Amino acid sequence: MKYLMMAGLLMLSLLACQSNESANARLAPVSELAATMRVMTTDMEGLKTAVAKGELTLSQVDAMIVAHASLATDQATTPSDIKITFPTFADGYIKQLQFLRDQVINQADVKQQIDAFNAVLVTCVGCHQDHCPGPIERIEKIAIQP
Amino acid sequence: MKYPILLLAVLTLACQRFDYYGEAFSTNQVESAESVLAALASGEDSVVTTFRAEVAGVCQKKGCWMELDMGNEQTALVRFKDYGFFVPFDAAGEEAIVRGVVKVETLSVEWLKHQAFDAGKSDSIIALITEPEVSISVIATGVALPEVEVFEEEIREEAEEVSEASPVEAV
Repeated sequence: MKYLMMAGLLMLSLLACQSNESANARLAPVSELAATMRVMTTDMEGLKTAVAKGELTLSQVDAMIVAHASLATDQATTPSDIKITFPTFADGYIKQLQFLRDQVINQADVKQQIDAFNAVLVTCVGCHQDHCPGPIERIEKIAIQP
Repeated sequence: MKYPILLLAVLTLACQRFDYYGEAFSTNQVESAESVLAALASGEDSVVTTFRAEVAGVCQKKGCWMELDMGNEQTALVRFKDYGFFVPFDAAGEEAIVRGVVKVETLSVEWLKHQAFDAGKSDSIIALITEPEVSISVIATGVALPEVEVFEEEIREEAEEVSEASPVEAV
């Protein structure tokens, strides 16, 4: 009985050591722009393999264009930090996605599709060099190496 | 009967509750900041470790980096692997346990200016940054901070108060 009680107390103590759910509550709220950029990152990371194999579909590119279209108008975490260059970068991003779409429609060879995919990422890196360099390393990892 | 009570008391004292940011990790074996500095001083290029240090500052824009007081008048810049998680703005002064890769790195002028901007430094201070800086750098996979009790009801009430004070027209 004594050992059973000790085992029970041990379990209770260990359970008490588990973390709670309060961590997220302390974090800054995610802005519209940050949320869109997270979707952009997930989408681009998710399609990397398909692009590298030449298996990117028109519907996949179209879905990205729709999902990322709000980039230019989303509310930033700190709107005053948005520079005058931002709309140009945002517009360039969407244009590069449309160029990637053209490559898929024209059934361009895999290398051309990879170049177009990487060119999309170049606009992201350029914008982050100008605004916030934190995510650059992660974005560069998405690029498909020749 | 006294042994189970003693066991419970010891376990309770030994057990500190944490909030984890990034990947959760074991806090059973935690090094001191001093021992991490000693490992780097001994010539190791990088150290994969779990260590504790006081948070000296946090990025005030998003919480996307933090500085740790490593003792001996040294700080370490902590960034989060793949920009994959952030830490709370108000973590300064708390003791963090950090899991990651520690190395000595030269921080570029561009980064130092951005870091100063994120930290809320004035333009005149930022303009004084003209040289790269050799610093202890950490790429963390996880950070543990002492658990803070957050009551959902209080958060909801505060949000409602803010909303009533400055109503936003629905779009």
